[in-house]
Amino acid sequence: MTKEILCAFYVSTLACAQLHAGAKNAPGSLSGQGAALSGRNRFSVYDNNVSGAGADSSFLTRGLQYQNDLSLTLDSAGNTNARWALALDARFTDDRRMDSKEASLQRISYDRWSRGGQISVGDFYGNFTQYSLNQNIKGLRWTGQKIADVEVTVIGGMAKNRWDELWERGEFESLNRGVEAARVRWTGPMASEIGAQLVFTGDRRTAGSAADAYSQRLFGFSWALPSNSDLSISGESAWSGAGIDRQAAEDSSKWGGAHKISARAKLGRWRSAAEYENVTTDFITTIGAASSDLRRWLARNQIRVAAGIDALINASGYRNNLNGRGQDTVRTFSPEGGLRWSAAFNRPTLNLEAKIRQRRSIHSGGTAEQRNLSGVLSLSDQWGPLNGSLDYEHRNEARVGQQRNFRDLLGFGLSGFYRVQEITLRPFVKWDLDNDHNETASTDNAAAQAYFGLAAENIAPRLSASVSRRRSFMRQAGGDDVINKLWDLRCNYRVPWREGDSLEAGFKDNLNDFSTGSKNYRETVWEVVYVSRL
Amino acid sequence: MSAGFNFGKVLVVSLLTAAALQPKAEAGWWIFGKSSGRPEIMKVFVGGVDLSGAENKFALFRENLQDGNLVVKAFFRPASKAPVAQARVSVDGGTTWQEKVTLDGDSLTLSFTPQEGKSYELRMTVTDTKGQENDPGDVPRVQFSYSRESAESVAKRDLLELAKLYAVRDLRGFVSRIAADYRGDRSSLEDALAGDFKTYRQIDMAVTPQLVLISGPEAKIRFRYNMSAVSAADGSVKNASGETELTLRSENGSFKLAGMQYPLIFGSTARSDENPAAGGVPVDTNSGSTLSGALLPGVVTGNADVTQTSGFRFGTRSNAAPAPGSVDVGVNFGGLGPYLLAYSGGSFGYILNLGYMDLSSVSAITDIGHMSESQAVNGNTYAVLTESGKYAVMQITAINTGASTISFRYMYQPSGSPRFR
Repeated sequence: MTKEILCAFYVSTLACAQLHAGAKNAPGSLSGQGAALSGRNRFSVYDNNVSGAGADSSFLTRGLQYQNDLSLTLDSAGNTNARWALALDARFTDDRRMDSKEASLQRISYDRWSRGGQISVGDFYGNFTQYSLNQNIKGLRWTGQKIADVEVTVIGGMAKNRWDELWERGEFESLNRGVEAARVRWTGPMASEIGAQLVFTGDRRTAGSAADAYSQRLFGFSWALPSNSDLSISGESAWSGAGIDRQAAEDSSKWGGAHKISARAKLGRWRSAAEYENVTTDFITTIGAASSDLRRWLARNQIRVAAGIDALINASGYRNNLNGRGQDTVRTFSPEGGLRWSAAFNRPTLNLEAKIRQRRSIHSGGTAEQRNLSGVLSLSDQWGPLNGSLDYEHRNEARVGQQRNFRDLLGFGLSGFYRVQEITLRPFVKWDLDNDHNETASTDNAAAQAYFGLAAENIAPRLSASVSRRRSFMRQAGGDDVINKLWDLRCNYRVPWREGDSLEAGFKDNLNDFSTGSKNYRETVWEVVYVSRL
Repeated sequence: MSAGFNFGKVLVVSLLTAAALQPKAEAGWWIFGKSSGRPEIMKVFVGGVDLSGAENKFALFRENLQDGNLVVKAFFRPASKAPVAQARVSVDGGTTWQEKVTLDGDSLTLSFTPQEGKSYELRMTVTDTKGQENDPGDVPRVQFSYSRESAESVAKRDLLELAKLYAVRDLRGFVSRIAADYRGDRSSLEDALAGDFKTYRQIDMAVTPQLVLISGPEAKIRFRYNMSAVSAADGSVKNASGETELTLRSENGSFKLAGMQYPLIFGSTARSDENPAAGGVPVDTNSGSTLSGALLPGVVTGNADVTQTSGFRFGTRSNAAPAPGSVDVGVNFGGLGPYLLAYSGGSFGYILNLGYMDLSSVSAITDIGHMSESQAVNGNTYAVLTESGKYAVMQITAINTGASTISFRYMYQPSGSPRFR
């Protein structure tokens, strides 16, 4: 354990320090080439103690653990024609709760910008459009310089979560998903654009895996009309063909499309946003994002009815089971209306809001209609350095012919910001109540919570500290009452021997007290953290 | 199995598309009426952020700079036959005016070095050769500030804040951190969150960011989570842990929740007909596949139904009235159901939603969690640890809400081993 801690700490921090010194001082070193190193190392050692008859309920790893997170970035800082940056994140920990590996490379990436465009190697966020590509990729991306307002991007790589899965079998790994994608995007005046996306993915099972393997071809088309601050309209369509190779079942292939259009408009006192989306049952995107088998729409409107007063009129709806293959079709309609009054009663800091929302779901079976009706009242104000808020929500949750619940949620909060000489104080208090009454069974489940604390900066030279206390109570019909008491203390000391470094210490005591004593457990955590910056 | 990649095909399609997209677009009739008697500022970008879609106050980060400078770029439309001759830009609400404004055709550019923490307010005027100025209302009245922090560290901080709001069951606080253009049904997510806080009354959550990558205003963040919660149904403590991803979008100075992938940690009690996740097909699952495709000797397979009044016991392949000690799984169509329930009369009785995958994909269960109930989603597969300590995997083939029946196919390992293949 000790060896591991020392190894992780010294290797990472000394590497940072040495590289930093080299970059600053050594002739002909990185600085001579116009490179700058920056980074951060966070070393934490903590001790988790769990006691009580119900200790198995805790998710904490018992005993002394450590975690070291190192981030380094080396980038060109000169006035060269080509800019570049190399980034690396690594984690060392013996706590399996934090990472499945003791030492792991979390990220490595190299980006280079030049007149010819941009090239990225390693980790990057492949983000074409929602339907086509929206995933972290490990591989290579090239984006060419715009020519006649046209930009081309080509991507090749793998949709892998972890680097170590590339050279050894991961804990949860079942597939290798290769990605090849290209995008052509034309941008015109007033933020208009047209883009075409082509994405191929192919899954290869890892040794012995029986997971479903997808082979996808997707073509997407995105657009935005010329717009100004009064009106903008944009949309996206994608068509996907996916073959699904099943190890112990019949293979299948699916073809489907996804389409959406969204608009935002402003006319006089009226502001509106609307969206419509239709994703067919068989549309599959392996590295994009979509909810299949769904048609949905929404409209949000805000109308200024008087000085400081806005009327809110919103509605959304959706239906599933578009091709009728599923057992149930569900249609949901959810209208919402309300008023927002800013600077109410000529008080600039007073804001009031009242809203009513209904949600009605009708199943094709006909017997499972659900109606939720909720009303929300919100108030917020400021008195000098003190902010306050009050929220109340009443919900009527009914399933026709079955049960009805009335739910009341009440929340109250105060937070402040005070300066006493050099000391900054930020106190806060929050209290909330959640009562759920089941009318059918005539039972109540209730939860109440009080949460308060104080953060103080510069209470002594270089020293800041915070303390918070949470106490909650829960009662449920026919079950245990539970009281939870949490203390959380932290302090931060900016060390004088190295500018930018800090030493932190924390203590947390979390007690869960059930009316059945055999469930009780207590978690006590001590933590010391050293953060070094470059 | 791997899709064959034809680079030539990509190149040809790319070039053809590029050629097809060449026509020049002009502002059309669909632009809401502005008189053509004076020049008009149509679009303004600050650090790459489009002001027409920006909140009243927003923050810019290190990534928004170009060579250490913040670039303000605006596109305008001159009045007919009167080109723009002069442009003025102020970043302090009109108190002082910047001198180094570059005019280039139908656009202007200003580049300046921002100060951290300082609040900026943009004003802009363009004047044509007839001396006419644009309408001051062309430029949205927004304030922005600059932070030397990277967007990545802000995204990490906002993820921790989301988890904290969830843990203290602050519904309104959490909802305020959902992006306006959330991918999926926002009101479904709000209802699912309310359902979470109804199902789980005391929540302890710890998240550890692993990989954060930024692209434009969006961040993709992968993290490990550990959660324990007291169930409102029976007062027992439930645990869940694993890895998942969120998409965050920069709005109003912070990153807000714009999308989620399975496994869900926020809104996990969403009803079966809703999908607040809006993610792709997962590559890795919580259930690893480790052996060959053939079923191990002794593994039992079959089809079965459960109803509100009839649960199922894998060991005897029989239905019975749902009660601990009598059945392994049941279903609850009440409340915001349907939910699958794992009954526990002994030490175990857990169920884990593996998401949309085929039963045949599962070779072994490597992680079961400690949840005894899970939303029932047609097509999804679930890992079950029965109360007698035996493993089963079930895939829902039909949900009939009218008859309150769930049909599923399953495989059951009577040996106690978590391996099936």
